[in-house]
Amino acid sequence: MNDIAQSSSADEDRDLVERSQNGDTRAFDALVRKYTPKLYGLVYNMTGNRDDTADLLQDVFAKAYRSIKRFMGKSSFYTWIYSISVNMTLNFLKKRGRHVKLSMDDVDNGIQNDPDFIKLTTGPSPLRDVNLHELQKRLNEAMMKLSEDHRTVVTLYDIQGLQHSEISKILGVSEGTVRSRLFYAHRQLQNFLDDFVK
Amino acid sequence: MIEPEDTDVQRLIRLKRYEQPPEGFVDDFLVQFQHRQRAEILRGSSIGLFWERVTAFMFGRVTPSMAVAGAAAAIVLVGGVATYLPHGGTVTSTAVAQAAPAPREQASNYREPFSASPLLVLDTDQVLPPMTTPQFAELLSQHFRGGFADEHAYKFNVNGWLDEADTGNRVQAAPLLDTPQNGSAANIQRQ
Repeated sequence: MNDIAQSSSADEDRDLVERSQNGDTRAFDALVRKYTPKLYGLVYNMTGNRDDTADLLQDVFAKAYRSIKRFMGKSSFYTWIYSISVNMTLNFLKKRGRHVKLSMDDVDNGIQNDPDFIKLTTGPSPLRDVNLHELQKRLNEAMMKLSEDHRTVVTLYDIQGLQHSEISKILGVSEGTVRSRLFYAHRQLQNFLDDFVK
Repeated sequence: MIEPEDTDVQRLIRLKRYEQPPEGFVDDFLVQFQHRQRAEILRGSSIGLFWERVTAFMFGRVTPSMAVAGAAAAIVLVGGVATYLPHGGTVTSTAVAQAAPAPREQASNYREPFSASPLLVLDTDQVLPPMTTPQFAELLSQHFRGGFADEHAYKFNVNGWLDEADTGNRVQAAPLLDTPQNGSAANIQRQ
């Protein structure tokens, strides 16, 4: 996202937040519609379960709606709603324990045209003969083997594409901690997926 | 710490962003959220409405000093109950019955709040003998004729005699009829 688009989005958010704080439910609906796909990806990749994701997202937005009047605008709405999502998901994962039942979403057909996918599946790559469903299953299993903190940073950085500084604000930790967690998480993933990547 | 860029693992993990919820998920999710949101608003507004009515009712009736007095009274009441219960236990119907005076005793101790008539002072310690009808009739007739001049000085004794209060002289009330036919004309015979 370039700077202009980011600034425009922030202005739009500020307006929607202000209207929501004045009781305009349609403005909050617009925020829900805007952030549901992004937050879905975050929560889904942290829980590995579709149903849990939908339930958690309902709780996240309900909490955000109840707290919107206390949102002072010191951070962006984007950072604020992400922080709520991460904290609520981590709390959920602590309660759930290690009893994970993977429930995977369908993989969008657009993956066939992704440059990374093409690069990984062409030539003498081990992925050449692996079907998409098997790849998806292995990736999800590898993610679930990570600790919750490591899974969070991988989700935010690698899958969601957030910057270190943004992750630092969302998690309330230093950028150094974010980088450290990413380093160790990648190393573990390398071990879990060593038959796919050389 | 140096984070290597675009390793194969990262490229691989990044493919997970192609996992997408089914089409129409956001619309369905929003509808579900709106239902929940409205239910919460309604629940909140019913509580808010009740509170609003309470505060509107109390507004203008309760001044700060009254509120302080009410709170103090509540504290005293709660404190009283708290100190009473550990020592005295619960209040039973037996305790209430013992605390109340017995009805019979109460009735025997009862005294009229006004004094008896100065005309007839009855000694209630002894039972009055039944007055004969003629005696009663004479008393009545005497009363309506103007009464005894010194009737205030007499009172009945236990035998139906009128005693002269001041002197102690006893006069017989019967026969009281002062009629010519009645030979025993003396209305009141001094003994």
